[in-house]
Amino acid sequence: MRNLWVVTKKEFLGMVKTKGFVIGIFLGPLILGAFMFLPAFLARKSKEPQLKMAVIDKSGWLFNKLDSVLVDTLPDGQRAYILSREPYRPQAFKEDENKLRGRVLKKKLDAYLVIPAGVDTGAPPEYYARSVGNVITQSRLENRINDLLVSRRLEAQGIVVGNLKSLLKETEIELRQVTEKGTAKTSFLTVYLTSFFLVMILFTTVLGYGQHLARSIVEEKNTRIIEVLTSSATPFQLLMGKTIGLGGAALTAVLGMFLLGFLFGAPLVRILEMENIKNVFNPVLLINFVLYLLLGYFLFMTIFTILGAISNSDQEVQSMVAPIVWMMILPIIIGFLVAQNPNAGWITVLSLIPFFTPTLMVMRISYLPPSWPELAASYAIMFFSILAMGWLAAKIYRVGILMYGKRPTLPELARWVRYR
Amino acid sequence: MVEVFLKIDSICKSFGAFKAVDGLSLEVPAGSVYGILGPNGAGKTTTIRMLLNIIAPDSGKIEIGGRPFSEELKKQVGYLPEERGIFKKMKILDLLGYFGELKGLSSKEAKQRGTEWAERLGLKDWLKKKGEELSKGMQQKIQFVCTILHEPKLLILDEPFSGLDPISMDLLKDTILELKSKGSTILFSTHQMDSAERLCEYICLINRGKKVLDGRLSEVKRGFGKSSLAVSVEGDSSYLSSLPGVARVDDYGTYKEIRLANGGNPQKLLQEISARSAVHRFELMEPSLHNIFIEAVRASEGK
Repeated sequence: MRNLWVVTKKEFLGMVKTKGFVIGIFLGPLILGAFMFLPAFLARKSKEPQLKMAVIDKSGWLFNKLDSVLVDTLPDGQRAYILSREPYRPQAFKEDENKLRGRVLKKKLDAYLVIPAGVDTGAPPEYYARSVGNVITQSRLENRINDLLVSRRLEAQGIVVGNLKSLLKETEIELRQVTEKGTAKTSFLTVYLTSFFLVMILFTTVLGYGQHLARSIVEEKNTRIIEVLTSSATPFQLLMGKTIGLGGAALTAVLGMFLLGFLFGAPLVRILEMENIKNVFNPVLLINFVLYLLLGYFLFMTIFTILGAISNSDQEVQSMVAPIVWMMILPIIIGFLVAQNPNAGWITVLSLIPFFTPTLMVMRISYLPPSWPELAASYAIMFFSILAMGWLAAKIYRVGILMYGKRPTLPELARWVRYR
Repeated sequence: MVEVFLKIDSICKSFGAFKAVDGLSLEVPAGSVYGILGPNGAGKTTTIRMLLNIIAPDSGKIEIGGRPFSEELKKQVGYLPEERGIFKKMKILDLLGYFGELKGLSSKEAKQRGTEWAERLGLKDWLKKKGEELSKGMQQKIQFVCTILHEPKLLILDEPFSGLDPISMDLLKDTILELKSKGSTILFSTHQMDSAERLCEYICLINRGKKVLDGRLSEVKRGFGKSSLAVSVEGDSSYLSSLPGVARVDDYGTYKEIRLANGGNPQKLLQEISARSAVHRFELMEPSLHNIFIEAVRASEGK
């Protein structure tokens, strides 16, 4: 027991004392926060400049009406769009258009719009600007012109409409998640981002610490320190100490991230009125997340243990990491399908396969928590898989740490497991 | 009757079809310096690993201090493997603390003893540095300190002299003898016969996993009788090996060791040599361990 403690302490401190560890704790919430808050923040703060736009109206009727409805204002109360009408001269159109293009390039104008003669029968207006990425302007122009076209067509049928806007008013569905504690206002994007980032934390933690474990096994092998260590403690104590020590560091990092995220995130949530984030980060999700993180950690550590025990160099470890990454990434790839129907039969089945369980379950719980028996089953399967894989990994580790040279073949591995 | 500290009773170990150790038995007297000698691949490292319970023998028994090996006993054993290294990213003082703690010392005690040793070896300024900052020679010294911090009753060294510079080699020898004077039993493996000859009281020769001969070094030598000659002559001496009655000649630079063939007569040989060159030295002696080793190995292989 004492040896186990000594090894655990060494591995834990060895990890926690590094600069990378401390930086990681701060960097995690920072990146996460940037992704979650920045879009909302920017949308609020960004200054939209006034847009000067010339219009050549070949139809003859649209400009005045458009000028009277395109009255959006900027936050400071000024008009967002200043329209100016350019005369349409059919014989000199090319020339006029060239002049406008020149003014746009010289930044005297921001854009010009050409309205075709047949605009009410479907010919599209053309918008010319230095930047055509302004989706807000595009959608506003489209909406207003469409409204005007619909009014005109209705009038042509003899129907006079006073206020088209109120006639065509659309509705939006508000999402409210039903939970044990009643209903909570939420939005799909918030839930999706939350589950995505929780899964990313899980993924990077397990992968990062797993590779560290495999590398440290290889280091002890290459330096033959392992022979000195095994003359002091049993291989099992060494392996368990390593796994628990690094696991403690991983847990410390994640809890540290949560704490920081809470300290700095909570005020931001208040300022940006993103109250629904609170409904997504509920205790049920967080507790399950930590449990799945730990179980996932231990399960994948068994694989990284085997990887380290059969490798002779960091390069050999690296070359075999890819399949493990794929195992963890699969649930992220099918994340959208999980979002659509978290309790679909095939997703339920997949999420009970131990290597997929942690990521898939965290996703599912953030959308729609599975039933308690299903959760319990997943925990039981994880637990027994860890025992079985741990037994296998310990057997292979015991032999692998004393073997140098060629990587073993599968039959050789099977023999290692059977060694007394 | 000497007290036996470490007793190995007909242990065997196979790896697949390969018999690494085949029915090896030996007894290491308490407080002695014991050398396990053998060519590469003789089974020395495998034997040592079984002694340390790193791998289990297929059959046979190992007792230390009259008891079968247990995990608790590991605290009384110090082990230096053949190839060496220390953690690259760990500070030396932490390293000493870690290895000491694994051997049952408190971290504080281990670091204190480690600091004393580092002072003795001129490494005090390096205690706060990381492993990768030390030269190879310094790393070896630190690793040796890690092995003996807890003053082990049994010190096991696998090829301790390989890759050491003369200064480190002397240091190692002094330390081995110091530990012996404090009552430790020291067992080491080597294929360097001269260092074994100078240090060991007892030896065991093994080849292909089997014991070839063992016992007190002086007795082993006596068993071979005064059947060697130390010869030094003036001028060309290449003819020596073709003289009748000579089994083999080893050149030691200042003199040559001649092993006599069975029935070889030293007096006759002296006449032959003095007829050809001026003789500076001609002395009957016990064979060197080097020659004993070669002959014993050849005999065991039936050559």
